[in-house]
Amino acid sequence: MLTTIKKAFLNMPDKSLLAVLDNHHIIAISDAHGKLIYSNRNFLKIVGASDDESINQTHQLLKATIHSKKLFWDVWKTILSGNEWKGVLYHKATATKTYILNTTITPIHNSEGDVIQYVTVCNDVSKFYPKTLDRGRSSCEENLWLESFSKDILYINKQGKIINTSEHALKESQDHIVGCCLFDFVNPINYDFVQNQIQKAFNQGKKGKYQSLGLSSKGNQTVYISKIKPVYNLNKEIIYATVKTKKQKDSTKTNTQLKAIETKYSNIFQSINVGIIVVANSVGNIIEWNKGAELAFGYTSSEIIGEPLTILISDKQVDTGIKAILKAKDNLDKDSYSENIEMLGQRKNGEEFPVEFAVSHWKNGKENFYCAFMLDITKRKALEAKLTKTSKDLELFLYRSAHDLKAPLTSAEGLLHLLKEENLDKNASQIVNMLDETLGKGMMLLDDLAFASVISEKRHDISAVDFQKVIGGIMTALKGLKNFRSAAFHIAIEQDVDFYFNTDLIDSILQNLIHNAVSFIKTKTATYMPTISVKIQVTSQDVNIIVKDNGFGISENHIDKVFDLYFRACSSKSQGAGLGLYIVKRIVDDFNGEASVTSEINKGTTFNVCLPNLKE
Amino acid sequence: MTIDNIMLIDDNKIDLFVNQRIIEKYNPAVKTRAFTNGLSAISFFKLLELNATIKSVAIPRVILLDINMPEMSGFNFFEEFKQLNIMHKNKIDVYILSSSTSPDDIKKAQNESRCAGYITKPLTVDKLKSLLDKSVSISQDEPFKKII
Repeated sequence: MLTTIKKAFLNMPDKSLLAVLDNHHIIAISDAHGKLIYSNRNFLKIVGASDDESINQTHQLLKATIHSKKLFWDVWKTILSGNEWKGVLYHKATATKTYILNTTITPIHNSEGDVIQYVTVCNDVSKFYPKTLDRGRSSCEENLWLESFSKDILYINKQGKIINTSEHALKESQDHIVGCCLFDFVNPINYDFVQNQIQKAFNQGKKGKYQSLGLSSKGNQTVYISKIKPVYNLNKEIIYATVKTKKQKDSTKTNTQLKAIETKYSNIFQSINVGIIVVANSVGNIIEWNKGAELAFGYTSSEIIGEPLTILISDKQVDTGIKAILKAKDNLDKDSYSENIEMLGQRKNGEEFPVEFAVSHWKNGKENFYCAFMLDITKRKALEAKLTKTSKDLELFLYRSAHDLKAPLTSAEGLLHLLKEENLDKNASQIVNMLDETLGKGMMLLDDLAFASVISEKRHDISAVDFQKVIGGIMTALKGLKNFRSAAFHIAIEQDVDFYFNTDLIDSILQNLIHNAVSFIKTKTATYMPTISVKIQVTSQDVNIIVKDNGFGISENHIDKVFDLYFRACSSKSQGAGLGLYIVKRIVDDFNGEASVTSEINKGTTFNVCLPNLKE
Repeated sequence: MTIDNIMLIDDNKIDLFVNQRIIEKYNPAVKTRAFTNGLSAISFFKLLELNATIKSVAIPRVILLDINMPEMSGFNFFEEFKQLNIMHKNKIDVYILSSSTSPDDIKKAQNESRCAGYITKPLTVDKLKSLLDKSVSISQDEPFKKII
C-alpha cells in the first residue's frame, strides 16, 4: 500500500505537487547565512509581514521560534552538520496568539557537498496542541528549575518573555530559560493574575507579586513567591522588569519544626525539678506548673492550674508578697528590669519555706504572661544564718579571748605594783618599769582587739555625741603617754547642730587619732614646739574630724598602708600595736564614711575623717 | 564611819593576794575576808543570818566583787545577794572589781541597783583611797562610782 502511494506521489507533476505543499505547509527557504530567500503565503501570515519585507531578512521565523540558546544551538548544530532537524517550535505571533509548529529544516547541498540553502517546512499544529496541556507539560519540565529560580533574577519584557537572567546560579539552565515565557512557569489558572501583575509593572510602574507552586523531585510542594519590579532607563521609561523568586518556607515543614521545638521546651520545662517554674496570666492565675513546682509546693498541676498565685505565698506575707509581685509586674510591663524577690512560700500542707524568684514576662497577642523562676532557698537561708552565727561566734570568741587574756595581765600588773613598793635597787626597779610598760602595751592591744570585735554591734546604739566630753575623757586617758604633757593642743569644735552617732565609736576614732598624733610628735626643744590640733566640724549631714600634728611624718612608701591591720610605720616611734588606725578605718567603712591621710617627712601628718550624721 | 571590814570575792588567788596586800598598805587595821567563788560568800552570809552573835563583827562594810568567775558570775551574785535579809539590815556597798574595761560590763554594773561602783584591776592604794576616803574621793555623793 505504501509503495502504491509512493508511486502515485512520484508520478505527480512537480508543479502541482509543489502547489499542494505550498498551500498546506509553511515553507521558507534561506541561504547558508540564514537570510530568507523565499517564503510562502502561509509563512508570511504567521510572521505577519509582507513578502517584500521578509525577503533578505534573517530567518525571522527561525529566530522568533527558537526560544532558548540551547534549542538554537541544537537546531544549528544539526543543520550545519548537514543533517535534517525535526522538532516543535513555538511562535508567539501576538500576546495572545501562539503558533505551535511541527517543523522540519532540511539543508540543501550543492554538488560539492556544501550547504547552500535551508528549506524550512512547518505545519501549524496549534489546534492539536491545546495550549494548557502544552504549557502544563512545559511547566512540569521547568519545575525542576524552579528551585534554581529562587537564586536568580529574571528579566522580562512587557509580554512576559524572559529576555535575560542574572548570571550566576542559572548558568546551566539559563539556555532553557531565556526566550521562554514567564507564563511557562505559571499555573494556567493564574495567567490572568500574573498578566495583570506584569501589566501593572510596565504600565503603572508598580511592583507586582504572585505565587507559584512547585513540585520537588520528591513530590513535596513548594510555594514560590515572585516579585515583579519595573526597571527604568535614564529617560524614566520602563525598559524591562525584574522577577525575583523566593522559596517560601514550607509551611507544613515549619509546623513540624515548631512542634518539635515546642515538645522539646515543654519537656525541659516539665522535667526541671530543681527549679520551680510557675506561669501566670495577667490576672495572677496560675496557668503553667512544672515538676519542680509540684515537688516544692506539693500541689499537682491539676490541683493548682487556675488558682491565684497568692495561694503559694505564706499567710504571714500575703500583703507584702503581693506588693512585691505587683511591683515586679509593673516593672516588667514598663519593660524595665525587675529585681529578684525573696519571700516565704507556703506548701500545700501549710509548711513555709523561703523562696527567691526572678520574674519574666512575654506577650501573646494582647495577653500578658508572667513566668516566675523560683528557687527553694531553704538551704541557702540556713547557710546564711549559720554564717551570721559563725561570724558572731567568732567575734564573740575574739572578744572573750581578748578579755580573758587581759585578766592575767592585770594580775601581773597588780603584782608589779606590789613589787615596786618593795625596796628594790636601781637595776631591779628599772627592769620592773620596763615590765610595767610591756604589760601596758599588751593590755592596750587586748583592749583594741576586744573593741574591734564589737564595732559592728555598736551601730544600733546611736545617740547625740558630746564632743567636748569625749575629748575631755581622751585627754585624761592619754595623759600618761610620752611627750603628751609637753605638747600644745589646739582643739576647735564647730558645732551648731546635734551630731548623732555611736559615742563609743567616736571616742575610739578620736582617741586613736590623737594617740597616733602624740606618738608621732618629737620631744620638745628650744626651737620645736610639739603641736597637735584637733578640728571637729559638724553639719546636719556629717562631721569632719581633722587631727594634725607637726611630728616625724610618714614616708610616701608607707602612707597608703597606715590604715592596714597591724601596720606600724616605724616600730621605734609608734607605741601602738597597729590596731588603732585599723579600727578607725573599720568604723569609717562600716558607716560609709571617708578617711584620708596626708603627710610630709619632718613636717607632720594630717588625718581627715568624715562620718555621716545619723540623725532620725 | 570608817571602813574596817572588806570582803573580797575573786576566783583568781593571785588577784586576791594583790588586793589583800593593797588593802593592808592602805590601812593595816582593815580586816579582809576572801572567797574564791560567789556561792561560798552567799553561804557565809546565810550562816551569819542564822548565828546572830557573831554578826556585828563579821559583816563586811564593803564587798569587792569580780565579774568573771565560774559557777556564779559577779552579776549572778547580785541576784542571790538581794534575796538575803542581811543586806537589808546592814549597809553593805558592793563594788565590781574587774579587769574588764568593756563599756558593756560597766553599763551592766550601772544598771544593777545594788552595785555601788566599778573599779578596774589592778587595785591600787590610790584607787582604794578615792573609793573609801571621803576627803580624797571626788565623787563621794554619786550613787555610782567609776574608778578606772
